[in-house]
Amino acid sequence: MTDMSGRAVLEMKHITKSFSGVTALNDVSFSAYEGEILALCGENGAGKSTLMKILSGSYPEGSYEGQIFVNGNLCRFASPAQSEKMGIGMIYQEISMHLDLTVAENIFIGRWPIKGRKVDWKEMNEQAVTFMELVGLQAEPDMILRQMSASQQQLVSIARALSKDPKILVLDEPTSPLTQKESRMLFEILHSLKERGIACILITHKMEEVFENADRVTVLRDGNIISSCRLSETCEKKVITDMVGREISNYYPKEKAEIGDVVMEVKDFSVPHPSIPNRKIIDQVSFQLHRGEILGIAGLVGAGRSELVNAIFGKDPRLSGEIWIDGRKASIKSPADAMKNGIALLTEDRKKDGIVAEMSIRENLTMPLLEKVSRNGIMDRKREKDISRRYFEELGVKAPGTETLMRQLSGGNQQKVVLGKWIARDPKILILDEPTRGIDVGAKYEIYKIMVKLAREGKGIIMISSELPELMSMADRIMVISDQRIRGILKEGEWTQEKIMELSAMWETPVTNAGGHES
Amino acid sequence: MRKRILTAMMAGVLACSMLYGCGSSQEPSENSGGSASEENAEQAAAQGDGYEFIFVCPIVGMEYWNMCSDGIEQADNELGTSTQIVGPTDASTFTTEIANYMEAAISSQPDAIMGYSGLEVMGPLIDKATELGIPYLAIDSDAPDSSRFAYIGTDPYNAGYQSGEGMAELTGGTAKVAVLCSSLSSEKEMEEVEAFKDAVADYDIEILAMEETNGDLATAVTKMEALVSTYPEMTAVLGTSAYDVQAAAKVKEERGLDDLVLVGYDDQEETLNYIRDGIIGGVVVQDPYTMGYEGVRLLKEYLDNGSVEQEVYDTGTIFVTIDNVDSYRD
Amino acid sequence: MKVIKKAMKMREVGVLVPLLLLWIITYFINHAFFTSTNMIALFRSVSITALGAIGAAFVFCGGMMDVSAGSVYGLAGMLAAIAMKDWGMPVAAAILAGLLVGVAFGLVNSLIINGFEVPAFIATLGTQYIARGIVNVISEGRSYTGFPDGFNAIGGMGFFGIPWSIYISLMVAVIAAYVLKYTVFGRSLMAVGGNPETARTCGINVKLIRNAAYIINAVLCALAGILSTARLETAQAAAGSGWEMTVIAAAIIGGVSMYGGSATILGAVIGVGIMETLTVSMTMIKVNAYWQRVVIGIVIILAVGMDTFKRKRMSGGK
Repeated sequence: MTDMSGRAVLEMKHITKSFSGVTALNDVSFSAYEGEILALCGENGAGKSTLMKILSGSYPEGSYEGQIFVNGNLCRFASPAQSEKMGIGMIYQEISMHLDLTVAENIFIGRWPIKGRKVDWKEMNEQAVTFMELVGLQAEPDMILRQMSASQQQLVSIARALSKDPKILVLDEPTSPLTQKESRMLFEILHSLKERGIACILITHKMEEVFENADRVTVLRDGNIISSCRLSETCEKKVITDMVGREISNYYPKEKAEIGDVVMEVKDFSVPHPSIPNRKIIDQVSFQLHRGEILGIAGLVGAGRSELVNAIFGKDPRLSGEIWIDGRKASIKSPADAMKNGIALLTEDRKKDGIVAEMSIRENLTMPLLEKVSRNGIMDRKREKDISRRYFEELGVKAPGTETLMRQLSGGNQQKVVLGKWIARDPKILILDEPTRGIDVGAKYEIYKIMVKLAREGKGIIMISSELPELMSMADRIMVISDQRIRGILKEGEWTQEKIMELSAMWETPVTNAGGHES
Repeated sequence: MRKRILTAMMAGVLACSMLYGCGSSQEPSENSGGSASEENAEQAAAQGDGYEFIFVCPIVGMEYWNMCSDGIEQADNELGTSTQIVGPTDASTFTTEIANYMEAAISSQPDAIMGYSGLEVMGPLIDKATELGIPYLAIDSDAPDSSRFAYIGTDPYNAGYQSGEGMAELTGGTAKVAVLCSSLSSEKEMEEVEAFKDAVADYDIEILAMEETNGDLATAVTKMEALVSTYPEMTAVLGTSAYDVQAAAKVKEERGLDDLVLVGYDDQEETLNYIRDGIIGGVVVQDPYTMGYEGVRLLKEYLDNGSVEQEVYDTGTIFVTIDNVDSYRD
Repeated sequence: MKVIKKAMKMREVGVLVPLLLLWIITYFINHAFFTSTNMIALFRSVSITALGAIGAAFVFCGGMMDVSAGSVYGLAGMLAAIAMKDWGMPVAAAILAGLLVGVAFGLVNSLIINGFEVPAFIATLGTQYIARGIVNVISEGRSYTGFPDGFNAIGGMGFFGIPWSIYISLMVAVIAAYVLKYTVFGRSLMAVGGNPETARTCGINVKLIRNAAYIINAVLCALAGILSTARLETAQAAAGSGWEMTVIAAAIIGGVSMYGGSATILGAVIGVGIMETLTVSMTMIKVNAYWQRVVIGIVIILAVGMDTFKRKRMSGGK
């Protein structure tokens, strides 16, 4: 695989960084070699992002101890621009693109080719095409980013990084918004970069990705390097153990709950398409949910799963359809109505509508419970503190206390708070839209445990997920949605990854070119 | 998309309402006097007159300018002309907004324009109008270096001088004066203050300070209170815009400063009451009604004959004190 | 000592310090600054404008904007005046009429913003013009004066030689602070300002909360206009022109974030203190009138700068 006698293209030595007395990185040293793919693993909060921010120059020289060497040269980065000049390219987990500019403009942002005194649009678009082909992005260079899907936007961000001719490429959870096919293309690109001697540092939770593509694995835990070895010297179990600090025998807690009677029935549901006028994204969908059941919903990105559950929750408009709860027809026109009917929804994008970043954990936890923590319109501080403390502990949120601001928490901990606020409502029906996206293994496991516990309590749970292994392990039934309809509802034993993919890809309606299209 | 259309519509409505102001569009009114004037109007209309003028007013809705509008309306009735009144309504920003209204007036291509001219920005705009063949008459405040064909209004110098004379008489020739004005960038007010200084030059009258009030009564009161605290030696106050002297009167009354002599401008009802009560010593009263009336007449004369007799028409001022407060209106 | 340390940590210290500095400097140059007459006059103007700043704090907290404040202030005062003088209504009814103007405009603003989804700044700019226009129309540019003593008394002195407006404002400020911090409405308002989508998903009626904030603001502005009219014993057609800018600047200086999600009533009031003190100070330290605007601008920037600096340090700087 990799020739370890190759030069160390990157060396970070004795890096230590603290924030207000909390140590994020403790004497961390690691290296990356020419032409290798190095996987960097660790739970959320282990220090991976901090380490990468130091490497990229976001945390400038002087804000940390230790040294960075690129190709043997000591580097002092005062800004990200300087690290870019040294050949370090960054692809972030959260897409930071300019949504109102075009693909080409984004790829070459800050370096638009100039003819005389004006921008050379033609040249820019032509050059953009080269990189778009490289990453497999099917679009026009002059398309506006806002109209493209998240996965396409991610491909643009990768194209941008590649266009700067990096010697070291750092990718933070790059396949998070990508489909299977796009992920495969990405790794092909990484392998070709390897041939050219470029080192890729891959930060990921997905063990399959690590073991299919990486040459070496380095594990961080609580700000310390725990291990760093070649792939042949380790295995999945060991990596996870190193990450979590304990043995995990199961990824998924297997205890199944008793399945009771129908708690919710959705009949003839239709939901308008969010961006294409006069189109439905969900057409005449009907299904049932039982007490104690975990109903998984599978489908491609853009198939309408989120739109379906948002409409059930009253958050988005529905065209037609009925919802029956415990045998009685429910009138749901707003989230407040849904909540009254015992439904809770954990949304897909917590940054957008799951949290209020500038408020504390306590304030976020109690937001859907205001009547419970108040009397006659006046807040009951004590009750509020008690309830938020309780769920804070129950969910194992890692933070100094309930007064910590949400934005200071890691993604996984934020998600726990969001889950906590809905659990606190003691709903009959809990809908989770991608509940473990972007969360480390340890936190995922905890969330699975909570889901199982809730199911055993008799709640009906709907889980939307794009991670098939997760779905297949947690769900009792899996409903596949594609092209406006349910393509199949599979029971345990009936499903395989291939079958689900097959159902997800069934497409009858011709796809118009408005906005993102699916591959 | 619907949002954007609606926003554009609202912006359009805003722009239109700004253009036509909250000032009324003047039509020859139906209830002004008896058949005589109606006959005149008909005659004039029959003669094919019916000139259309625009009056660019600095603060539409203010009492002073309403009097001017009354004069304009009367003239329109008698002469068969029609004058539209446009202008800002906000005292604190009119010095900048009035230029927009002037631009709009020019674009409407009326037969002639008359307007408040004593601001830097108006000069070039006046020239622009005349270059396009629209004659311009300066009213109430002048732009002597521009191409306006005449000025009608109070001569600010004369007015200011009169205020100085009045002050000298009321104070017996000795005073330490604080000045309140609405805007330091108002050429007219500044000229009035200079004239005041000239008038009192031979007396033992000294100016202690000058403060700006934006034409807002509350601000003027606050400033007056501060002046009282800061200058215990102050014995008189000069207020150059309508509310300034009223504010001074309020504070004088509230604090029982009976020896303070107050001189100001304009004859609002409240001000006259203060004069009757002996709180305000005297005010310089202008004649906006005549300005409006004669203004329209001059515009018509210019269009009919190609010129007018004089370049400056002084509508005059009266110094109103307790002695003539009830009789000066004749 | 512990109390002082705790006080130092309060976020409002960042604006309180400039205010106190301003006072001390003015006093040094002109001792007349700290006389009771002067201080009472100062607090009186502060109390009236503070009502507007408190209203603005509510609106900002909800993530919105309202520039019609000054026109509502003027209209309420003028309407009360006309109600008393032209329509012969008793004082209490006239005051009620003025306050109802506030309710009406609050509703109009919310209708346009929530119903037609016109951006807040433009919508309230429109109502600013409309309200001012109505003032001009109903008053025909005249100012009104000569109100019944009962009305004027509200603008005058109360217990212990302290003007009623100060008592009223104080009460409003305390209630407002309490509402924001301790009631469900206050919490909901902050949620709506912090992230309206999240608030909506949690079952909060975002539109209703926003409407309420606009109405509260408009009523407070109307109240301020009525108090001012009573104090001056005159209703002026141009009253309140540009007042919204003072009010908004005061709120921002006081640390109320324009992006929503939080508000400080104390800060807003201190901000008003700074703005009003500047008007008086400039005169009292005999700054040449031509330079006053320059100085005011500089002080505003310094006050905001000090506050921002303090806030950055408190949030730990990443």
